[in-house]
Amino acid sequence: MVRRESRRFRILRLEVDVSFPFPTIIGIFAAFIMIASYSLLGMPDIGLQFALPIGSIDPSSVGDLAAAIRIMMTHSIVVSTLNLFYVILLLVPLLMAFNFALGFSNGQIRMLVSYPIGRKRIIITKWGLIFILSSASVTLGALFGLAFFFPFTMDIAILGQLFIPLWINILLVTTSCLLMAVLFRSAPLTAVGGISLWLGTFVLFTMQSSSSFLLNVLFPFLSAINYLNPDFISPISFLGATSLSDVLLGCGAAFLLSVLLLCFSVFAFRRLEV
Amino acid sequence: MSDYAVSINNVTKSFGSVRALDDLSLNIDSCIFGLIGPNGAGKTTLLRILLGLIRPDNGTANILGHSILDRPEDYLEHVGVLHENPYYPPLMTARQYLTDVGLLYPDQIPVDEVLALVGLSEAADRKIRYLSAGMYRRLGLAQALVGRPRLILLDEPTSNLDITGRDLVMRLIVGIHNEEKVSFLITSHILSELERACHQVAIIVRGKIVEKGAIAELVERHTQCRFRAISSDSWKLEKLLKGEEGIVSVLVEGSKSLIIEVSSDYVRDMESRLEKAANRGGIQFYGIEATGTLEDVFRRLVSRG
Repeated sequence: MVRRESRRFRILRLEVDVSFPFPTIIGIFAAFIMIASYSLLGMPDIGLQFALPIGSIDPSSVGDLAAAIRIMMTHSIVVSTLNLFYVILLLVPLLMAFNFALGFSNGQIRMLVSYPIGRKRIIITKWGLIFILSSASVTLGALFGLAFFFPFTMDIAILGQLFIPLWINILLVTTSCLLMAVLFRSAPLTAVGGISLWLGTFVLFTMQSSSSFLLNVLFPFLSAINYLNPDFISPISFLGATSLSDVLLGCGAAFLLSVLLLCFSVFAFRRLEV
Repeated sequence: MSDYAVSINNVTKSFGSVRALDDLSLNIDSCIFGLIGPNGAGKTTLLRILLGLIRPDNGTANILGHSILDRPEDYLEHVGVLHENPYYPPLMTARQYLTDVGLLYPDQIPVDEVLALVGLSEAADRKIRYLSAGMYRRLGLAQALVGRPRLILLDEPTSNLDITGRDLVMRLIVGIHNEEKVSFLITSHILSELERACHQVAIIVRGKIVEKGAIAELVERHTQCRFRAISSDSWKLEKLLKGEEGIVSVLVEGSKSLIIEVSSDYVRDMESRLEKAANRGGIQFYGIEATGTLEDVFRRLVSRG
């Protein structure tokens, strides 16, 4: 039984080799690090300085200096993560379209289900790799910004408040795109549908007053940023005042919704005729 | 437990208003078995049902003693598959792909051994996108074989191949069956190939099995009144025979050979009648022989519907 279980995980190796060869993974990570760097350079454009306010700090006070650096670190990681999040809204539908939905038309899914692998394992592996790659890319890209401030360390609680909602948000985006891929079984429809849904929702919510609960559920990452920096960055000011309970409620609801979408996708995929 | 490699019982499958399989039942022994039928007869649908890719509306089937309605991954451990239009990752090498696929099975044939068996050793480290059509098909056979299966399902294994490639694939199938004792279920349109390789065939028309058996038996049963006539000019002989009493059909096979089907009452004096007709037309008549191929059987059964 142990042997059989370990064998079932070998689909991971096949899936990584087929869909995410080494150069692809490195390419995605490199692109995210570059975008993060570019975001940091663009900080002055949104009124944030990527430099210490030397004139306003008492050089003899180490505490003031450390606090100033900590604020700057928070700003830089938030800016880079926020910019990477927009890229994720584009990237995840594309990854889901070309690494999963396309498999229905080019015969890859038919090949996979003809091997001794359960359908549940196939869909979970495909979705899981896209989720891990997306989350890891944003996280690595964002953390790259912190390298500038070495040897100062950032408060782990702030990182948690930032990254946990981010990962939950990516979870929601990946599961919604997964469901589209299973239902549409078409790469173009999944890509266009996923991008339209997420960018469209985002734009719609920024253009008119909407339910703040819905906003917190669909974009828990943005409400977390708003909570961390209430006086910060105009693009997400539409969220208004955000409390910790808003963030927690949004994260919890988004997580539950993601699990629901994932379960429904698995259910639908197991019954698909391929 | 059934002794058959595959046992299909009253399987029905419809796609909308089209009935692809109509209460189909078939038992397949452990051998090289051919499934033939015209386009749209239901061959590929049947293979997809056996693989668990689609579910039958009614009926059931067993593969190597496992019901297809159970978890397909259990019996797929012992089944290799080559789809008609397979997908192999273009950026991987044949060796990498076979290694990854082999790991999915409980028992594997070493990759180098499989590559040698299908004649792909030299191209083992070439990216799949650079393989020729023949090599691509052989890679398909290799991935079907690498998990040491007891049964291999092949859907049109020689499509898109030239005559040399087709010969090679069919020789491989026979060789693998003899050496590894693997059973095969093959669908193909190229009946002459199946005739060379298969021990038994079934003919499927409009979702039903209309005939099944050893090829020699089928040919004997369905082509008793067919002859090959050899003359100096088959086209002229064909014209001379048109309208002759007792002649059911005449088909020019080559410049000197003609396939003639006669009604059973005229079989006995067939040769003398042909000779007379040839003399009348001023051409040389060399003789006749009883003939019959799987293709003749197929034509006869399909036209009968």
